Amino acid sequence: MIRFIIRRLLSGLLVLFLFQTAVFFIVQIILPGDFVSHLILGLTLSEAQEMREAIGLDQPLWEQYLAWLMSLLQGDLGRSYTWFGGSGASVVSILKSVVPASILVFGLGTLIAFMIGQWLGKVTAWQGPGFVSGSVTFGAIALYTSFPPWLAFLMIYFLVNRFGLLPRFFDNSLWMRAELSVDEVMLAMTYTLIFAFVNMLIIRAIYQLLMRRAFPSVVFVALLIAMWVGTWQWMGIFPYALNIAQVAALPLLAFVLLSFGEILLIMRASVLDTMHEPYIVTARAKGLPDRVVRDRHVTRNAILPVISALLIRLPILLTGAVMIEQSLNWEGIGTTLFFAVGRQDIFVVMGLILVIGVISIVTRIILDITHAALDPRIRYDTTAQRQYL
Amino acid sequence: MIESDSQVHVDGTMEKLSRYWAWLNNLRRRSLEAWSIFAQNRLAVLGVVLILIYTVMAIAHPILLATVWPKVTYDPQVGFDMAIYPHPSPPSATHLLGTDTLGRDVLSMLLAATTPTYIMALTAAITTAIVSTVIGAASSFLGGTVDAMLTHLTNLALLIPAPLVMVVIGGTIDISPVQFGLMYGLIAGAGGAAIIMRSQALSIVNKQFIEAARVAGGGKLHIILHHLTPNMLPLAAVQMLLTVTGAVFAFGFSAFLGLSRTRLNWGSMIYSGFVYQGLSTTITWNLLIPAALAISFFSAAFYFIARGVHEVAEPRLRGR
Repeated sequence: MIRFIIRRLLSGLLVLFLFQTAVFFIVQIILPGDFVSHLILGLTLSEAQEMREAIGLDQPLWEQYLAWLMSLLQGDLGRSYTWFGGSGASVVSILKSVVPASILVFGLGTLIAFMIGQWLGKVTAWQGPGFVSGSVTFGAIALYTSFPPWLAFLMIYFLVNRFGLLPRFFDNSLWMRAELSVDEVMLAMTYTLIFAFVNMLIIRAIYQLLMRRAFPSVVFVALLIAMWVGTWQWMGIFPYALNIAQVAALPLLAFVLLSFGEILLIMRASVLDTMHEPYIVTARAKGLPDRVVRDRHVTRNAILPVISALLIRLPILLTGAVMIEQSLNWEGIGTTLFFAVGRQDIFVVMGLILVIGVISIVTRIILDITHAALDPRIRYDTTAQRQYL
Repeated sequence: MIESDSQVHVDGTMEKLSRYWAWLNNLRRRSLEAWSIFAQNRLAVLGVVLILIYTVMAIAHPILLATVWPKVTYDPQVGFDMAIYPHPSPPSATHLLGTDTLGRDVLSMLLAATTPTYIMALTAAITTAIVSTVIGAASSFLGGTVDAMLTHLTNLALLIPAPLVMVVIGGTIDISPVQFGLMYGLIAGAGGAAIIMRSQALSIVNKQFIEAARVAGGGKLHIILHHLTPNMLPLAAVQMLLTVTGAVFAFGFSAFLGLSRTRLNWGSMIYSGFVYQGLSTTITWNLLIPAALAISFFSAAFYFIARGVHEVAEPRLRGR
């Protein structure tokens, strides 16, 4: 297993390195001009030349690349060109503001969509054809095929303008008085979310070990939320965090609505497939209650394709959310990458891609391990390993 | 002597013809069977009906422009109706879906956008199917170095961020629907679709008939072309149809942001509706709703058909 993880890590890093190199040269060569030429209208020629020298764009391309690589090896991601001259914003600080925003909305959104989707898929498949399962499936397809900007527009129109349920922007009067910036609070919220989640996983594991019974998922979610909100109170950022949560609710909801349908459909097909397996018949014949058969025998086998699908879509989830981000003005990874490429702000682009790559490699390895833990076939059989991993 | 020779020749041709005929008959029977399974899925039939409607829409537009609609009023890009004030106007007898902010007929725009989207979607779908099948077959059957390299290629394709591609495309190339479809199909086909096709191919490669073909002395190319690929094609069709949803969204969105220079697009129709909403408080529902529904139904149609094809391809799924 450890050998497998190390091999995966190394090959992932190799692919990421090749990809970064390719992106560097594609952005600098294929796109016309460079960063300075985007500002050229306001500059004289000598000023442009000066600026190029100041930010190092006058050097040959491969030298720029090597310089970036050397500074990366020293743990420095460079600076954005945008605030040239004096003290430019470092890429790390940009990442610190952008990555939490993305994780908060799209990481959490994926989790929620996964839970809703797999639960609905399981229930509708278990019930068999009928009005409820038909309309749920139809609704899921309708949401899955709706054009994201249009859905975002409808949500703004109804939730914000018509009924005023959610705020669209941050509350300025609140943040004027705050000692903290939005980014810092968001970073803290991300940390506390991960902290609360890991804690809940530990509690769940202990409960299952002691009681030998499944931990009810409703209690899990309720405790998770309680713990998360509790940490805000404890850190003294409660009003600010609440404001962020309210604003983030809109993109979060849009993301969940757009993505849960796919998970539902995969889960449904997979449950229907598993339901007729001989071991399910055996489980029923033993006289086990319906719920136990469904939750412990069917779901555990049926969830594997869903995890595979999640695994495939992970990098796309991180950047592909650009449609929602763009339509709802949420400054996440997608939007920032979009504008950074547009301005040819190369170090920001490289930094963002590095983060996306590392997150997706690490998550894929974690998912692979989960996969192997859930499915003994993968643990012992090398052909199956080739097939699933 | 000569006679008998020609007799043999004729016999050979006849035999060939009759074999060909039997093959055709067999094909007909099998496709009828497949259709009867397909037709049992009501949503799949709905998908086919929707596709037919879109086809009619695509064909109808040039005909309507040539016969009924005067070009000055109904041109999808520069048309303007002088008789109506103010624009945008709600649906009326002359403009069935009303006009947009610039006085163009919404129905005409809607119809005109069908053809480019069609071309783009089909190009993307076919490219995805070909690329993913080739990668899946090669990497599962050849194994070893080829497999490792193709897997890395797949991981690489999965890493490619959509915004990057869109900006690079929008900034450099005056992209046509075909080019967009090719680009999308390549990335999607080498990425997610290839993973699914590879695992399908691996499960086929381990089956006994492949082993039998190998024992019988079949070459690598022969086995891939005649035994492996035919078994992968149904799933390739499913992948192909599922790609359309993503491709249509990406196409619409790049037009929505003004990145691709296709002016006739459902996405750009929605965009112009939003821009107008920013300028005044009126919301041009008559522009937004048809365009949004057109995108949704277009991708839903392909999705429904994909599910129907999947049922035909995998007997396990039938009757659900």
